[in-house]
Amino acid sequence: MLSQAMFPWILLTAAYLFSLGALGVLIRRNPLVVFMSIELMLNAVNLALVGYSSFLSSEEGQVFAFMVIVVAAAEVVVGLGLLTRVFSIGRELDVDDLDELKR
Amino acid sequence: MSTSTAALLAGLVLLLPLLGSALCGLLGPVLGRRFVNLAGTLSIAGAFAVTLVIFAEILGAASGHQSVTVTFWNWLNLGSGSNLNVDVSVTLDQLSVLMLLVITGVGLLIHVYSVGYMEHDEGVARFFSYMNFFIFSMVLLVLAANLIILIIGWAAVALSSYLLIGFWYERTSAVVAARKAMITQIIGDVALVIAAFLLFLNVRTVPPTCPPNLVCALPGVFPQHLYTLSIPQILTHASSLGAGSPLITLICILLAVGAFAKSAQFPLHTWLPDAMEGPTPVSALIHAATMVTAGVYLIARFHALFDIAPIAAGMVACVGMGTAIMAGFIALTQQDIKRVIAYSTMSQIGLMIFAVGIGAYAAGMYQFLLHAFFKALLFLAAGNVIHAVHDEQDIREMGGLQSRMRVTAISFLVGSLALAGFLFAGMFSKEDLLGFGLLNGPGTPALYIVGIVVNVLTGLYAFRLYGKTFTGEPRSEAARHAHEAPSVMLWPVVILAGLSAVAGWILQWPVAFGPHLINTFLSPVFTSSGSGPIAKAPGLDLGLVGFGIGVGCSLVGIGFGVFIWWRRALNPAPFFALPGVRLIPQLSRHKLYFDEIYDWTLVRPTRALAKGVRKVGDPVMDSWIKGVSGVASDFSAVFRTLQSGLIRDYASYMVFFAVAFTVAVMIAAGLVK
Amino acid sequence: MNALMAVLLILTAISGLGVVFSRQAIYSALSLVLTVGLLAVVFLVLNAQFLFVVQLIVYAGAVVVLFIFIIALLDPAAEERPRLTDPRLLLGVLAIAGICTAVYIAASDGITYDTACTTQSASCMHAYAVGGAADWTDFTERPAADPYNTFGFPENAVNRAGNVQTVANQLFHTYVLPFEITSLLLLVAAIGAVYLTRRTHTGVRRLPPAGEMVMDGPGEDD
Repeated sequence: MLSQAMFPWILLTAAYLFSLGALGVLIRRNPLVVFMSIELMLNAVNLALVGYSSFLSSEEGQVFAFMVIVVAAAEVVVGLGLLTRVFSIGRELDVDDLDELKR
Repeated sequence: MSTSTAALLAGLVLLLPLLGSALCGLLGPVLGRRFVNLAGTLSIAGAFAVTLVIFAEILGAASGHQSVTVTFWNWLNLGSGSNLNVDVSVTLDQLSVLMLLVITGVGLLIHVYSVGYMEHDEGVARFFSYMNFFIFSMVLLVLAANLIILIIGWAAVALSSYLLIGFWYERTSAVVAARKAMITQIIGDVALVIAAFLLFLNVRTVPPTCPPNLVCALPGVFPQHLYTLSIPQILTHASSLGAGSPLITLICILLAVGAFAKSAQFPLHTWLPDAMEGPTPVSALIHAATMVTAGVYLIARFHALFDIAPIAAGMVACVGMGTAIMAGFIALTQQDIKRVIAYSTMSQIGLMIFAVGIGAYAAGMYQFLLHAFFKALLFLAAGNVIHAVHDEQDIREMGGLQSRMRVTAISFLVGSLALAGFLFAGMFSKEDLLGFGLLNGPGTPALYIVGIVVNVLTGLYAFRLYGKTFTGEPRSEAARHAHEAPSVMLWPVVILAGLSAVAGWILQWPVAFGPHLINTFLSPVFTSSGSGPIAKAPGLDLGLVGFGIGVGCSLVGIGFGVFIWWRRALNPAPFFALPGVRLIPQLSRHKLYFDEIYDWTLVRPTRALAKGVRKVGDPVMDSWIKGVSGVASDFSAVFRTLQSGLIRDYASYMVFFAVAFTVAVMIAAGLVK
Repeated sequence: MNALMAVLLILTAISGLGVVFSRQAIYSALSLVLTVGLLAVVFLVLNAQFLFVVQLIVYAGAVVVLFIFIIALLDPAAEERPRLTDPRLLLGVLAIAGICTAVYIAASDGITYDTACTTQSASCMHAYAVGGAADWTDFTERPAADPYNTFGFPENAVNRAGNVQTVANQLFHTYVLPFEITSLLLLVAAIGAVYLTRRTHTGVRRLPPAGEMVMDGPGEDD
């Protein structure tokens, strides 16, 4: 049986993974790695959710984590499809290059 | 006369010219010349008819009830009670109806004349619109019973004058003259407005003593004084300003400055000769009969104030007589027919101003009435002459018109005699007011002596004008081919000539010498304030002596004028060519160098100052404006860099604020101590 | 168990670093597989057996595989070094520090669990009973050995139903609507992906003229 003292560490790890993923979004220029950083963030959230579910003895956290996984999967599908399209029309795979939001 | 009748009549006499002005201005260009002629003239005819009705009413009213003040509506009411209360109100009394008769009557004749004069002018609709508007503003001025309304009428008259002087706006000289007139008038306007402020602040309409049945110790129970802007009330309570006090002297001086600007008296007289740039009917109406007499009216209307400010009144008299002799002197050498008549106007008005300055208000108004007749006559006849010689105004190019334009010539002769003061109108009015000068006025009888010199000069220049214009051989082709004017331009001239001839005789009836009818008519006005006529009237014997001397001097002037310029028996030219003496005609020709003096002392320094201010101020202002816009754009430039288009930048903003928000919430919730 | 959990967490942290800081994208993907797997084990330790399996199947088995496919397809050898002088790096590190500190403080303060709370109310958190409130009517059912009875579902509930069943119970009773919507979401995503990536007439690779903005959206014909 896990002791209660572990719970803060679980949360801490979740926070750490989340912010690490944010860092990855910020400093990587390859959009695929950015995407993976986002997946990392989502996993961190899942970790937090499951941790809470276990700690509070409630299934709701796990249910919500399940939803998160589903949504993450769907998002990955669409996002990678878009990236493929971007690549196929000849643009570089570099988030700094895809800056038309400015206009 | 009941208030409602008075309101109706006053309203009509105000609105008819205004209506005419609007119709001519708005519909004239559309409906054509005939419509404009009809509308412009009929509106004034209607106003004249109403004026006659008012006149009849006043004549028929019982004594003491001849003056009616009608309030049309209350325009402004600030402050409880009567603190700042502007009613649109008019006074119908003898003084205002006398002015109205001249304004609408002579105005009507001039409008009829204008139909012929402007026959070939394209802007006839605009002309009649402006002329009608002028009549309206002049009526408003003389009827006003509230200081604010008076000021409005005063300013509207100045505006009309500007519009009409600069009527032929394509001529630079006309526009410049109009501007000059306007600027000079504005000086007078400012003085008038300041005088109005002072009057408003200082006239007490409630006696300072406590009525017996009031407990005056309680604050607010008994108002210490009520302010008023109403002219009848100001006149009634003029004594509250303090007889002879510095305050009332100041107010009267300010009023006088306003009057001088409007009546072209020294030192604000330089605009009148230039105003001859306007069409001749304009000169006849505005610069002879009506607008320039508004100053005289102002002083006459505020007689109660001038009665108790002897210093100011004395100053007025001196300025008036001074201008009279100065203008007469200048008129002797002018070569433009209209300018001679303009300076003559200046001189005669000087006499009027002198009269009201010494307290002989009725005499001044008498001169006003008769002067309106013969001066308008002279201008209209001059207009005929100008028309006949194809717009030539230099009298050196005229001559011999006597035989070619008989009616005009005879009328002009009548007018000249009336002006010079022999046999016709001017004789009576001028001698009347000069007679008062024997006993009244500063430095008595110094001003009288100046006055009789003015008589000599008047006779001289009047007959110089007549002689050079009408007699002798024609000095130009145009003069040779001159013919008489069309009847629409002749009839007003003839009527005015008739009036000039007989008016003096009729009004002097029934008493061959002494108080004339105008005096009797107007005396209730000038005695209503409680103080009687200040000016001492000369007795019968002294008056006769004065009369004789005055007429004698006029005859001297006339005689010399006839001999030099008509009969050509005398030629003073060699005398005036002598070295020292040569200065005199030169001064006269150059109008005593007033324009040049004003230019150097006023115009150029102001221009230089303006240039200097611009030079210093423009960069400062520019830098302020640029500074503001610069700050704004620099500020936004900072924020513009946030929109880089890079996803990573946007993500960093999100991360930053997410973390900051989390920490902030934690601190706020007291978790992090 | 605590030691196991600690090891797992440390390994997860390290492999997370691998995801973010790898030079080549393929290494990031492999690190992601590792992270996901470790997290799945963590879920298992936390008594979430259903999620353990789902995580492995969906994340490690589908999502990351998809990533690897795309990397292989598009640009396998792309190398990229994150610049150390990038100010965003500093921001990210600060963000890590900030969030971690904040969460740790919040967690260790015990805010997530109010030990003194005995009644169900908004101000203190309670666990909802598995399968119904009846199982938790009073706290005396908790084993006395662990006064808070954390990290363990009541044995009777779990033994009665099992984790999958209890999760399914929630999914199909209380949360059936979100469940159905999620399935719809998957459908839409699938259709969207097919639509967005369909081939247009002119072919696949087209170099744009220099300097011209090329936003060739789907559906444009030439």
